[in-house]
Amino acid sequence: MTIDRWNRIEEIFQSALERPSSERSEYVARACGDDEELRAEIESLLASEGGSDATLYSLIEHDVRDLAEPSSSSDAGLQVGPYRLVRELDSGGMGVVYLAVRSDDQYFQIVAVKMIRRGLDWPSLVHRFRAERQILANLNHPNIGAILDGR
Amino acid sequence: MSDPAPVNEASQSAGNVTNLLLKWGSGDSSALERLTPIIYEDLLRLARARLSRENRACTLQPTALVHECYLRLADQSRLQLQNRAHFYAVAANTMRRVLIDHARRRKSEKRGRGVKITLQTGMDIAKERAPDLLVLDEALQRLTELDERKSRVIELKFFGGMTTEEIGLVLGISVATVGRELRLGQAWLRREMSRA
Repeated sequence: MTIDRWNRIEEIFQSALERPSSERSEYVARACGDDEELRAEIESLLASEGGSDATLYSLIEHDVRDLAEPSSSSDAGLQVGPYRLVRELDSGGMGVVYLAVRSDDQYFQIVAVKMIRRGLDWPSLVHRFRAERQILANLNHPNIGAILDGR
Repeated sequence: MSDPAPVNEASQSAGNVTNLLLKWGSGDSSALERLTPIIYEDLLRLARARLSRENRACTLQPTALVHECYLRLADQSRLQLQNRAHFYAVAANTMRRVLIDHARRRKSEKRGRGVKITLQTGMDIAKERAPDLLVLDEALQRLTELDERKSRVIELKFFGGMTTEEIGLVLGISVATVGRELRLGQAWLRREMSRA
């Protein structure tokens, strides 16, 4: 749809709503002239106008509830490269740290896997995450976890 | 980690969030990306605390969570209306992203379990979708292409629980304009979702 067309729809839609409901149909018909398609579009929008906000709110609420169930948002069991996530150890705003084990039978190793939160993988945050990884890779100290792998 | 945050922890991030909001207000855009994870974590923490503390039938309105989150995290004595509106705008967008991502993942998990149904030919059952969050999100994305500001206004209202005045403040438009944007935006969205 062109911007002009959409602006035209908006103009007639808003003006129609400023009139008493008994006069709307007539006004829309007059404003649209012989453009039947335009008239049908505006009538269908007017038919969807008004009513309660409750439907949208409850739709969203339903999913918040689901999200809040601790078990449902965990990635435990997920395979990440050669590692299998066992359970969540801790989480911060940006990421979640999992206890994980190597599962490709090459050798046995317990590791921690830090993952950026799903939904927060914006380019700028991913960039920060990568920078943190690089800093870690540059460090070598017994009290700082060593980086093993990253993807 | 699903426990509610101790008071001192909340007040610690409060100073942080307040400073970030002030920085953002004065034009430091990197403050936004540091705010997002803090707000997200607190929203999740609040939702979980509420579900475990109260009965399962309690309301879990995202907008109520955003309000509570703001009260916990922001030092109101140092912030102005404008900062508050910005906080809500970040929270609304964060809430939407996180919920959509979660809904997508849940859907792909269901598919991954290999539930297969044979549909009779000639019946277009697959096309009919009950409105859910993903349907809403897709409709909102189409609205963004058509009219970005309307889509934004709806996100701020429904995911952020913002009042008409606050939305006007964030977008720099009058209360009357917000009202008009909401009217057509919502009508368009309702119609789209009923067609989905």
